[in-house]
Parts: sequence; structure tokens; C-alpha cells
Amino acid sequence: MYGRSAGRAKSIIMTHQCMELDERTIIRRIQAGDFDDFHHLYDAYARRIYLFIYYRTYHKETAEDLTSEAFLKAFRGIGSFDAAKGTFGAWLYRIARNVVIDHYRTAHPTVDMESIWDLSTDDDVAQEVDVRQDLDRVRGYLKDLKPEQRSVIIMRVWDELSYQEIADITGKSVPSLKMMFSRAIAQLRRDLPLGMLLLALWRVYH
Amino acid sequence: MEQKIQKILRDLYKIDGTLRQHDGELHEIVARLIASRPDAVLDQRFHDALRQTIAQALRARSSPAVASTRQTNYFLTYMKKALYALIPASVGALAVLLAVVYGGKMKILSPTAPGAASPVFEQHQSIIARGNEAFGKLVASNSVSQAEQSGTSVGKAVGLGGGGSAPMAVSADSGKRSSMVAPVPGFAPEWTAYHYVYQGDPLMLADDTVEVLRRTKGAGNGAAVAAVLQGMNFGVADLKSFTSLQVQSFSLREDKEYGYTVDVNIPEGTVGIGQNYERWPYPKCSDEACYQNSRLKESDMLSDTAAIQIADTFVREHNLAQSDYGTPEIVDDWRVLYAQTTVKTDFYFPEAVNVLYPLTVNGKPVYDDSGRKVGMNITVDVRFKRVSGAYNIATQTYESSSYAAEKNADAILKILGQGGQYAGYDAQAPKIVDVTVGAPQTAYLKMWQYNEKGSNELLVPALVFPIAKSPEPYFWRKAVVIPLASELLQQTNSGGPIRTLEKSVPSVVVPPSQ
Repeated sequence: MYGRSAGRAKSIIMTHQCMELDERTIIRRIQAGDFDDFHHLYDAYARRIYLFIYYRTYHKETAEDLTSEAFLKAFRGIGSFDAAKGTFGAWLYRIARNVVIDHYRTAHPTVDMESIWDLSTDDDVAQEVDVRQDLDRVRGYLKDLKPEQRSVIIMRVWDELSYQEIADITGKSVPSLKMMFSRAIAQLRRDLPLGMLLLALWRVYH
Repeated sequence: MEQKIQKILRDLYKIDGTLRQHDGELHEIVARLIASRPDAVLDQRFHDALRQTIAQALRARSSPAVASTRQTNYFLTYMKKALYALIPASVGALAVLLAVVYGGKMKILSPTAPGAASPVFEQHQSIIARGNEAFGKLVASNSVSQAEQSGTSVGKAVGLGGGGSAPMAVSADSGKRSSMVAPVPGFAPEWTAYHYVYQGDPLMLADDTVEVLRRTKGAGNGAAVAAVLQGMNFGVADLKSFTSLQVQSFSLREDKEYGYTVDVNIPEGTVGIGQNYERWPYPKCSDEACYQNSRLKESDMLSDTAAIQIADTFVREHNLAQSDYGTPEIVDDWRVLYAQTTVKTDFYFPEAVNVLYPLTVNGKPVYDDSGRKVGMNITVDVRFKRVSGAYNIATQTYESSSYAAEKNADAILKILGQGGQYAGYDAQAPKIVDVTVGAPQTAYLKMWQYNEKGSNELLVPALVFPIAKSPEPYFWRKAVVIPLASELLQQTNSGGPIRTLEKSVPSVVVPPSQ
């Protein structure tokens, strides 16, 4: 199991490294007005960005709309992307993040990214019925966490972003994110319902 | 999932080794967090559609700024406010709006003009996928009943060519449902029906569905044009006082000799160019002698090469969209008519010849249901050897949707035999002539879908059977087009064959009551 995990991680890294090399070339070309290879970039990030947005909206059509908006903003503004300041991926995620914030801000002017968790379960947010139950359950687990702790957990566990990537997107430092994550998990353990705790202990010893 | 759990836990223990003692609990927590992730999947159609949208956006962005020599049809990329102060408003408007139509040659700069960077029309062809049968019924569901009730065949999806049929009235009380046209005194043509015989390999109809296209309307950026106009001083009214303005359509005239008119319909996404007749020096005849003297002669007619050259020059000069259109060809109807005319001296030579730039969508040609290619039409004035008009210039953005395909080759060949859906084939005609058609090519059939809101322009995948052997030296038809959407094949000419009444039927005039 461990080997598979490591292998996959390596493959992601390799893919990422290859992509980084290609990305720079592709981005330079796009910035110079040659768009023939843009689809490589798009294909590499479309699914990830869509899921990133979906996990924060829980609504297919909304997620598609916001994904479109994020990509169009990104490619229209790609001239302003500076590879020296970070990866294209982090830049794109930041755009997606801002698009989601803007989406919620139309109804909630003062919202920030961390608070979206609460808003996304409001009645005014259209949700797919089959998602609601899962959402309610997760909401139950995470309800006592601070918004920024919930945010880092979702980015780490659901979005499968590395701490460095989360740092690039959020502007927080890697050590602080790691600390935030570990404290959040520790708090979840402390708040774990007794039944769940017993189940976990039973699994450890059997 | 286990590998993800382990990775997260490893990272966690590196941060805080004391947590390892709670491994079982943390394992459970992380497992539940991962398991609770919504099971979302990126829809492939959306993925593809967005890629296409981005491609368009990138091309739009590239046109003026990056490729400075490339002319584009994007509206007002650069516009200079100061220029307005130097030129009369009407001329300024013409210049600005011609920049919309002709794209890019006229670079008027203004970094502050509202809407300056917004294209009015999308220049490039694109197709965005929609769900299955997203355009509703291709055939209006009430078409039959409407036709039956009104006695006329209206209200259904119909092709462009009408199958060569004349306008007709359908006799509501006719048991045979045949259409009748009134007899013309002294003209008694022999009624001939053409039966189309396929000679080729068996048809291969493997696809379960076909992708029907619908041309996108209403995507034009009328607000950008309105924004420009709002920036102008109209004197008697302040356009800036209005909000959310959208320009629907506008007409412009070139005020010069051989000037043109330009009509732009933004919701329809069309541009039409015609003559400003007042400025074209046509002979102004008031008597027969003048008329006869000014008639064109055969020697005046342009060669095909010359006509195409004139059309090509016009297309280039005005930067009309070319990428979606194939090699121009002459529509030689006048030659057919001339060949059939027995008294040549009576023949009226047309003032204009048509040059067709055949449209290609998705790599396929487009036909109407009479078997003619569809595309951008350029008319060349023979007298003045200038282009006199350009029509069917339309945006080429489409939506696509899957519809059930016809898989029964016999059904297709049966309709082919009749000359198509609307040919009004008459098996009882006194004379039936076989017309041989060859192996088909795939193409689109252009049709109109009528509904309560208006009409939609549909492109339906079709088989085009070329006429392999004409029954006459100048047979009017070049091909028979059969759509492959099974729903459409259920729709045939309910009016039946068109026949000439044997004798005039005097109309009954009821005097008004006193």
C-alpha cells in the first residue's frame, strides 16, 4: 500500500515537473501571441480547478460557470502572469479562489474564503440533493473548527494540494499551514464522538 | 484511499510526532474526511466546450495586439476619441461602424472608449456541445394539424430550396392531397416526374446519433456598439442618459460614386452589403428605345474567371470572413436559361452574376434541400464590372446536439427516389424520367426550424447524392440531399405532388350585402 502511495506521489511530481517545463514554454508562447498549445495547459488544470470550485459550491452548474470564468480570466490575463513569482498552477488556483469569493460576495458582501464553508450550506445556495447528506455529515465533523482550519483541511484532503501549493495560493507560510493542519486534526480527534473513538480503537487492536 | 490516508498521516506525524500515539483515531478521522469528499466529475462536454470558448477568447485577444498585420472583424479595438473632434459625427459613425463590418483596416485609437475592446461578433467558427435533443423537436409538433386546418403547408421545419417546387396552395378538401397550380393560358407543359436512382455501394449507416447544429443567435455585443454611440454628441438628445442600451441593427451608406449600403443585424449575427443605388450611374431610361439600347448583350457578360476575380478583390479589400468558405464558384443559372431559350434575341441577360463562396462547417459543405451549396453570395454587376452586393455573411458559432440517426438505408433510398423530402414526387405523372445519382458524400443540410419565438437555423448531417447522369443537357438540379436525423425523415411533403389544374375554375364573387 505504501509503495503504491509513494509511486503515485512520484508520478505526480514527475508529471508536475514535466508540466512545469512545458508550462513555461507554453506560457511564454501564449504571452507572445501563439496560442496553439494552450490546450495542454487547460487540459492539465481543467479537472482540478473544476473540483476546487465544486467543493466550494456543491452545485454542478455553478461550478461550471465559475470554472469558465476562472479560466477565461486566467487566459485573458495571462500576459500579467510572472513565472518568477510562482507557478502557473498557484496563480490559476488564486484566480479560481477569487472567482468563488466574488460569487458569494454578490449575496454576502463581506465574505472571505474561509467563511464560504458556512455560506455554501445556506438555503440560498442551490445544492444538489445527493450532495446535501454528505455535506451535512462533513459539516458535522468540522463545525467546531476555525474557518481557516477548515479551509486548509479541505485544500489538503479534498483538493490534494501540497502545503507549498496551499501556501502559494493563500499567501500563508508553509510552517504555519502545517501547524494549522495538525492543530485542526488534533482538535477533531479531541472532539471525536465516543462511538467513533471506540470504533477506531477496535480497528487498531483487531 | 488508504494511500492518501497514509500520506496525510505521515506528513502529520512529521509536524507533530506526538500525534502518532493516536494513529487509530486519526486514521478514522482522515478516512472519513476523504470519504466525505463529494463525488464530482468534470463533464466532458463542458470540458470540451470550455476549451473551445477559451480558444476563441485567445484568438480574439491576439488579433489586434499581437498580430498587428492581421486584420480582424473585431469591433473598435482601437478608437481615438480625438478623431471625433476632427470629423463630422456622421462620417465618424460611418468610419467606426465600417470598422465593425470590415474589421481592422481603420484603426481609430482610443484607450478610454467604453466597449472599445469588445468584439461585436465572434469571428471564428465554433461549436459548443449541448445535451441530447437540446433543440426540441426538429419538426414542429403541430405542423400537420396547422397545415390541415389552414389548408396551407406552413409551420414546420423546412429547407431552403423548397425542392424546386413552386409556391403552392394545398387543397384542404382534396382526398389525394395533391397541390394545384393554376394553368397559364397558352402554356401547357408536360408534367414530368423525376425518379432518382441510386447507383453505388450499399449505404453504411453505422451511427446511432447525428450531431445537429444550430447557429447561435443573440450573441452579438450590441452593448459595445451602443457604448460607442453613447460617447457621441447627437445634439438633440443625450444618449448617455440611457442605460443598458443595446444596438439591434443599423444601416450605413457610403456617400460616393459606386457606394455601398451596409446592414448589420446584431441579434441575427448577419451583415449584408448592397448598392447605394443613388450613386450608381445606371441608365435612366424613360422610353423603349433607351431600354433596348441599354440592354446587356451576350458579349457584355463576364467570364467566370473575371467575375471571380472581381469578387475575390472585394472580399479581400473589405476583409470579409474567408476562413469558413471554400473556393468561389459561379452560380450559372443564366447560362442554363439561355441555353433553353429558343429565341436568343429575346433573352434578358442579367445585370449581375452570382459568385458563391461555399460554406464549410466542421469540415463539411452545407447544402440546401434543392441540392445547391450554401455560402456567402457575392453579386457582380456585369455592366460596371464591380461587386454589387454581398449576402449571407453570418457569424459561424453553433451549438450541437445529438439526435437519433436514421439507420435504415431503404428508408433513405425511398426518399432519395422521390427526390427528397419536399420534392412532391408524383408516381402517377404521365412521364417519369429516371435520374442516376452517385455515391453520396457527407454534408450538412441547412434547414429552418420554426417555433413560437421565431426561427432557428439548423444544420443537419446529411447525405448528398450528386446527379451522376443528367436527364437533360441543363438539368436544374445538381444533387439530392437527404438528412440523416430520423425525425426529419418522417416529415415529407404532405401536400403531395404539384399538378396543373386541367382548366381554369372561375372564382365565385359574392357581392357584399347591402
